[in-house]
Amino acid sequence: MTGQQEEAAVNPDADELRRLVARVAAQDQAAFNELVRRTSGFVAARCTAVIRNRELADDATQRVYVKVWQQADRFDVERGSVIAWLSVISRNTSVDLVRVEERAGRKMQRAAQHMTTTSHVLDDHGNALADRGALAAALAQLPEDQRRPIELAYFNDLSYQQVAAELGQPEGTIKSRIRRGMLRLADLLGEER
Amino acid sequence: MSDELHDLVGPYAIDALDEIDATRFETHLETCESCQGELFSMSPVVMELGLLDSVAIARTTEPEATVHDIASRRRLPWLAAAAAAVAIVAGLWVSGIFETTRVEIIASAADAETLTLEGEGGTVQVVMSNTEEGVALDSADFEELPEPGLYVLWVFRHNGHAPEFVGNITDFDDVDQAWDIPVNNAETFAISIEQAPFPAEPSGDIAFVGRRDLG
Repeated sequence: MTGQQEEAAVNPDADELRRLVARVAAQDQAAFNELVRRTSGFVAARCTAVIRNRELADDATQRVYVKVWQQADRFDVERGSVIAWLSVISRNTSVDLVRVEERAGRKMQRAAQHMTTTSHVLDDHGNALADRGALAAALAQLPEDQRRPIELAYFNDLSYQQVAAELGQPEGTIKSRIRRGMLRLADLLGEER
Repeated sequence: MSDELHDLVGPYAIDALDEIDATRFETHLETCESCQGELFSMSPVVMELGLLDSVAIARTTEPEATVHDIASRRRLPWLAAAAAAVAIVAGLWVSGIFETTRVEIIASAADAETLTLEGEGGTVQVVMSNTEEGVALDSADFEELPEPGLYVLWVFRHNGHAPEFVGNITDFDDVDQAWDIPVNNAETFAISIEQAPFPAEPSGDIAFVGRRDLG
């Protein structure tokens, strides 16, 4: 990782988040407000990653925080990770919301769509990318071997193993490239802001 | 430290892991501050990708239309997280809106029907509605399961060939959980004990089962 990536990867004040959850468990509304302020972007992203529908992801985010309010007293404030806890709640809530079979059906549909299209995935999203300057610019700066796996995985709903098969690369190589590409995109978007 | 597990953070961030790998990574995430930080830092990228995906996904019709149907049926005014917090601060009744309303809507539907699932350790009652297209837990004699065990609800449809996954029951104490599924031909409900969420088929013990008279 680069120095910038190291910096971007700093955990967002894990101890402070734990203290906030401990206060939320005691029904401290101010602490809840602060927890939401610090983590809502993260929770919304986790829900969006699973649901791929912003309106529904918003609903899921809302539900996650209701669960947080209700279940905070079960969080291990001594050893637990708030980020991991929120991530699990977000994914479970999101999957339950759209239902597993619908999600699986959508993945299959997209995979089929991908298999029948002859155009490069970027071509298929050219207009959309043009509308999203910051991300388009960031994606354009990624090396091809990082950009392509991310595009295939995200836009075609492929698992990293399927991406590896598609590109004829080892699975370990692909998941590593997705990780490095995502970290680089985070850096590049951060520079834009 | 396992690079193999650390490298899953990228695919996990964009939901490119199967359920087994996702669950395995979440276990790792619990104790890996490096991955927690990386996942957190990727949030803006995921949100931007989500905006792109909303444009792209609109070009496909059927599957997304289903999702939109659910969204329009269930959508509640999300005012952004801060506003929700304000709502909770103002009255704390928001928790009632989201967690219990769906259950209450199903339970109070004109065609609501309660089914008792029998088990060795007690019973579980589910309530369902054809018109609301949903099923909810009503009451349950759940026992705390040793980690990582969980209960999973399944439905067997009339003339169906295989059980369908309904949902993970992750909260043994709070049974206010509801799922949107058509129930008009749902004949049997069963709850199995599993060792990982989202199983493809019931692989564990069947703890509770109840058959519905479809007439």
